[in-house]
Amino acid sequence: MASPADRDAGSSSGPVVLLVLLTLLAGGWWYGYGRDTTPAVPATSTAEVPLVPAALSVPAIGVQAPVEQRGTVDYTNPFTGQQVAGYGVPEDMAATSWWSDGPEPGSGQMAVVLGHDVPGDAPGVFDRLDELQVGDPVVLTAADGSQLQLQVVQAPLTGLDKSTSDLSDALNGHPEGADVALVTCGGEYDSSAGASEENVVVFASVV
Amino acid sequence: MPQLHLSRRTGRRLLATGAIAAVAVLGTPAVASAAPSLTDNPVTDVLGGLTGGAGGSTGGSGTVVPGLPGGGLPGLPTGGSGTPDPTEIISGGAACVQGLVTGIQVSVTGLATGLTEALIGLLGGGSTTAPVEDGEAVTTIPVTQAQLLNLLDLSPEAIADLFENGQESLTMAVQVIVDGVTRTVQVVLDFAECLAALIPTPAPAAPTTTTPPTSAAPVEPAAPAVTTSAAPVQAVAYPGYAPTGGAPSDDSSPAGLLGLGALVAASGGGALWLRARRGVAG
Repeated sequence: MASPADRDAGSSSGPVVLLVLLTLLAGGWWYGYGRDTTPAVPATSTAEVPLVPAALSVPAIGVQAPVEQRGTVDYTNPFTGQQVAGYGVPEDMAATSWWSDGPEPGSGQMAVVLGHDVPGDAPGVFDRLDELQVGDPVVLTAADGSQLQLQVVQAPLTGLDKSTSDLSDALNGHPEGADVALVTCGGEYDSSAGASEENVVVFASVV
Repeated sequence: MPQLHLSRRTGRRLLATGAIAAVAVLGTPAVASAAPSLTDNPVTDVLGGLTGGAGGSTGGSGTVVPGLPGGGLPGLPTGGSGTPDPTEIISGGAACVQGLVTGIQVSVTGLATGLTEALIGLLGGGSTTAPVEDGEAVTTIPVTQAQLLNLLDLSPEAIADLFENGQESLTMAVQVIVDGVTRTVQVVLDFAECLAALIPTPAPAAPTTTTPPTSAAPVEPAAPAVTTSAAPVQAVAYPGYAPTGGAPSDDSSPAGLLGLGALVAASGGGALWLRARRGVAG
């Protein structure tokens, strides 16, 4: 039989185990939710010519991500069933992509950079894109270290319906002087369509 | 070396204004003053014919000049033995574009039908055969500058004087053999395109060759302006679909960890519940 001392020890071990488990759980949560902390390419100069971006930094929303090059891709719009031309997007939820079939950032025409907004609590590089405010800095860095300094020029455009031409209308009618459009998804995730229902766009201009 | 070819300008002049060219030759005082010294020159023979001298024919470029006595090419039958068909009109033209380099390109039209090859030669100069197609033969007779000067029997200074006095061309004779009959046609050598090369001093015609580079030069600065202005004009059509919404993933989401934590927590809680149920104080 167990002595009273043993019983006392056993009765106190349960909360300790729970505490340890909760600690492990919180640690796992924190580890899994951590953002890409890859250090940014060191700034060596300010780009005076168009550049091919290799990294994106948006400090206001904690974004520090690589930029891949993706061209135009034919998709079937899951909401309309129609074949549409769309932007290639990175497979990595923590990466972004530059629409390489379009203008280069700093070319005088508006470039498009895209990133994922993952539904729920899962991490996506542009999860907080709709939190940006006018004046927030955006930095694009080329592989050679040259940088393009931009800032947000307009409040984020949200609620762009994917079943319509909202996104192309917004981009083709971009604000004058916009040099880069940051694009992600938003709205509710339609599990039957397997996609979010909306897009979010943020325009930025070279400083 | 630049290649000789028939000048369309000279060709047109010969075909359309041959008579005018002949008059230009005749009307040049320099030619008249030089005439006494050119009595033995085949060219002056031709000129003499054009002036209406013995045996001369003052027809235009389409007129056959009778064969010159004793002026035939070596080995070639002399004129006079054939009976020219009155309906057969033979004319000639010559050019030496970009200066006289490899010879004089001669074109003869109105040759006898059925003639497959014609022998074309310069009076006192070289000759060559040329295929006849549709009554026309075109060939280049090799002539150097020195040979041409010898044929013309003119010094470079005399040519320069002619040019300075407004002479635009010189007419010389070319013999062609048509069905064994020697015939002489007149060709006009344009000063600017042909004879300027014979003048040792810089010819006034030279600026015509330097004009293209000078006119092309101002074009270069304009090129960057075109390229710089073209880029902003080009419109961009932005696609309208961006699948940037990532699907929830088991691998990358913390849901798995949450489930595992819940399972472990439930196990711990169950253990505590069992201990309490067994009456263990705690």
